[in-house]
Amino acid sequence: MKKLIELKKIKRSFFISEDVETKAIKEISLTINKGEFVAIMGPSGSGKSTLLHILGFLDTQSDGDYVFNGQSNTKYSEEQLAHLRNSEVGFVFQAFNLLAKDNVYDNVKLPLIYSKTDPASWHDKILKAIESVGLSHRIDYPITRLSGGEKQRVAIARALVNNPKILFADEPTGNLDSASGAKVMQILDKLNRELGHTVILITHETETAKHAQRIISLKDGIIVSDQENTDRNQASNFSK
Amino acid sequence: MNFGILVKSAKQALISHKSRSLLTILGIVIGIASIIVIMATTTSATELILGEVQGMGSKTFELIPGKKPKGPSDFAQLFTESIKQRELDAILNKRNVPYINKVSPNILVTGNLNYNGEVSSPSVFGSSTFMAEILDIAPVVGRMFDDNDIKNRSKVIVIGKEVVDDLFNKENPIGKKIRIKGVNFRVIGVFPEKGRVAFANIDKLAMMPYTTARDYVQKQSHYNSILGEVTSEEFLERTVEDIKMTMREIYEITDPKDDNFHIQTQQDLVERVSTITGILSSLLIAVAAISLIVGGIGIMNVMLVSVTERTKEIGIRKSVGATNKDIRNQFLVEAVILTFSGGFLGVMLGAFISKIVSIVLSKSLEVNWLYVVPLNAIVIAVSASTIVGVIFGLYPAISASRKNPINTLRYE
Repeated sequence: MKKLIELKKIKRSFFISEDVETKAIKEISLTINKGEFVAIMGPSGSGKSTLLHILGFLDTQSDGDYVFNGQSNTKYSEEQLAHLRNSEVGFVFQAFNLLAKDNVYDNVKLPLIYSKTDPASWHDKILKAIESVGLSHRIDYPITRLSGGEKQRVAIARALVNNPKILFADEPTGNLDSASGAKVMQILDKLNRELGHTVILITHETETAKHAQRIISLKDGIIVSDQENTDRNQASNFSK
Repeated sequence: MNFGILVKSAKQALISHKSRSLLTILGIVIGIASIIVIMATTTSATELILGEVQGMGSKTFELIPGKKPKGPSDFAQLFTESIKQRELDAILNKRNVPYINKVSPNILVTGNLNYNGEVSSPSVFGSSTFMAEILDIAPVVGRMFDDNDIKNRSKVIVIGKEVVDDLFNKENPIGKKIRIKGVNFRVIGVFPEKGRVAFANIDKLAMMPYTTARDYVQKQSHYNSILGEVTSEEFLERTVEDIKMTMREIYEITDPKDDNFHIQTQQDLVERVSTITGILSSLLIAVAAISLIVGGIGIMNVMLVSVTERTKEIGIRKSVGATNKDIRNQFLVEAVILTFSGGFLGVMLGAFISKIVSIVLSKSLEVNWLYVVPLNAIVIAVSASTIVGVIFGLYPAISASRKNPINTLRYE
């Protein structure tokens, strides 16, 4: 299998004040292959969000090396990192992070306007992404009129629209009731199994983590366990 | 990021805060409107004054006693009596000044016109026929006095329409005798109704042969001015120099500072009028520019608030791939659209106010006040407003673009 992500002894610390240092990540080494579905678990303060930010090019490590697709992230300029966020990764956040004033279509379009793709191809890509999360009937709805589950599906469509190599989901079901949460997980499952997307899921819910092939547990900024999920949740086929 | 999308999303953002956007640009609207009004009215005023000046004709000059007034104390100089028949003869001598075509020695007559107990007080001049030619006011009723009248010092007078109304109650004025300073004059003509021409109200004018005015009415030996015309425009400058030389020779003046006369041409007047209105409008525009700066600070303030308010949006955009430059441009375009629309509304408002000003001034001053909004005013206004947007939008836009994506995503 092709190596997509390789972390070599990365560290990340923050300075709360001049001399008070917090080590969010003490030292993590990790390899993730193309097509994997990985869940990262851990209590709050374990460093899982910081890890996701580094993996998603929103942040850079203080020390160590992060090799993505064969190249170290420290070699990129700010502009190139923005381009990687645009074309290589897609984010799904717990708080949805949609533009509340825009409708479904415009939210899904957002990554495309910052991409170098041909505007003539945008419409088809947007429709396809919205269809893949089963929201074709909500295409011109304003975000404010959607339910939580629908909002998260819009966020997934937005993450997918630019056909990224990897999908990051940071507690995607955290703000949802169990039925909506289940639907969101079905979609992520389907994207991984049927369409071959690499998915990295951050969660503190064991049930949610069971959708992954591999579960990594963090505590206090280090990996405490990293194992295959033998008990993978067989999601039923997704329907609207 | 594509410019069209940038403009579209900026417009959306501004429309979603309609009343705030409108209030924000009010300063710019007022600033730009004042610039337009100032430029429009000073242009019209200049046109109006120049129109009068140009009524004099481009081949004419006026020789005036006393040196050119440069300050209030110099005006006493105008009452010197340096131009008499001797000077006039010297100037008319072709060996001294070869290119003079015609002249009109002018005498200011002080005194009212009386007829049968009615009184009129127009401007009364003693002049030659050339004066009426220049002003293009050949009488419509009766005739102008001629060279014979001048030679014979005839006691004849030509009067304007208002003078006729003052003195003659529907009577035919031709042939009637009127009195000025105890001297009887026969009315021989009436000027056409023309209003103002070259600073003079033709309707309130009376003209008699300068010889008559000089010897019988004012009883003075000097002339108040000599109006002249050169044979061709190209000789005007040379003629002015020739007259200066002649005058200096007569009075043995070696230093031009000691001149006891000065010569005015249309060009001089045009330059003077343009200088004065130019200074005036620059001063006023400087004041208007201050309001633009104040407006710009208002824009900056609102943009900073907007950046803080939209911290989360900045984070979302960055997380899906917006570069710092994209974010900066987004806020900069919003600021520029704000100020540009302010400029546009300001031009409209300014044009509207200028129109009202032109109507009011035309009515109240009884002048033909032109309504013009000069193109350069519009160009200046629109570019000034755009520049204000760039200058005052840049700081908020840069501070937006530098926000850290993680912190902005966490912002609630």
